[in-house]
Amino acid sequence: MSVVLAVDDTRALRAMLADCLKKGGHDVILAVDGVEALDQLRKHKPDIVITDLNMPRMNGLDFIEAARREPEGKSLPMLLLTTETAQSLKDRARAVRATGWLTKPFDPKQILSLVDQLA
Amino acid sequence: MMALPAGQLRSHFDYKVHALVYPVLPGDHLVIDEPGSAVSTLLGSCVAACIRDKTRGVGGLNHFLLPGSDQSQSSRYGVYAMEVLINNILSQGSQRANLEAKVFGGAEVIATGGQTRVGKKNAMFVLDYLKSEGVSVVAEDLGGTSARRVYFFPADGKVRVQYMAATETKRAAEGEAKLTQRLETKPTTGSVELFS
Repeated sequence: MSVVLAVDDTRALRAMLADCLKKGGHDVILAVDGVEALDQLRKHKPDIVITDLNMPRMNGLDFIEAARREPEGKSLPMLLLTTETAQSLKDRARAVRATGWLTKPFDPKQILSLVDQLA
Repeated sequence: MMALPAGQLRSHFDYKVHALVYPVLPGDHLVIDEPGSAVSTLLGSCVAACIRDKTRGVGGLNHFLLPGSDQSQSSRYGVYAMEVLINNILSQGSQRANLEAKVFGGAEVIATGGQTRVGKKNAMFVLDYLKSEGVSVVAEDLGGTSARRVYFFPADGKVRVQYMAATETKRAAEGEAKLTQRLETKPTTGSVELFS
């Protein structure tokens, strides 16, 4: 069982991710944007992060970049889960040391197997 | 799909609405930023959310359905369809607070799959989703038994709905049955790329 921080500004997406991860036996912490996610990261020290890219206040890439500077985020697996597919964004994701790039719609089985593999 | 550069997308002049019209097929979506032009789609039991930024006149529509009977599985397609449309509009520089929606479709057309109340399921989903995301629904035309052709003009938010005769309704139902079958036999899922 892992502690997963799931970050998405879409309520329905947060609910679906939480449902999928809880069914897989994991503890889930939710955040609505990068600012809240940084706060949750410091508070709960998750084992893995799954974050959306496009979000208000702080997007997923800026969040990962900031999280890598935190002691809790230095070597944490952090996956982007997004509708975006542009190579320029993927390059930026590598540059901020994201662990991987998942495109929506997500497959619950795939998410659970990645959490098992990485967390 | 990006909003216009017009000319890169398939469009035609439609004499019914006297405007340049960009068609959207089942399972797809399109956002335009072109005053006077419309996005259009033919809906049976599928639904379309027509969403626009009311301050900037940028907007578009999606055309989707929730396949199958497993609620959480099928919702994924709806959530995805809504998210790509909204993200596309927001990526043009719009604010979520300025979005408004009109929703259409969800008819109980005679489906070849023999499923019942498919239209209602789709209609309930789109209304619930928009409510939960705080996007106001300023008009809706859902349910019934006829297919609809929807023309949406994002610049001023006008919509024209044309109810279709039995032949066109049957054609819409067949198109949607194909989409349902495709999603059920070969589920659409995203890709995974690990960087390290």
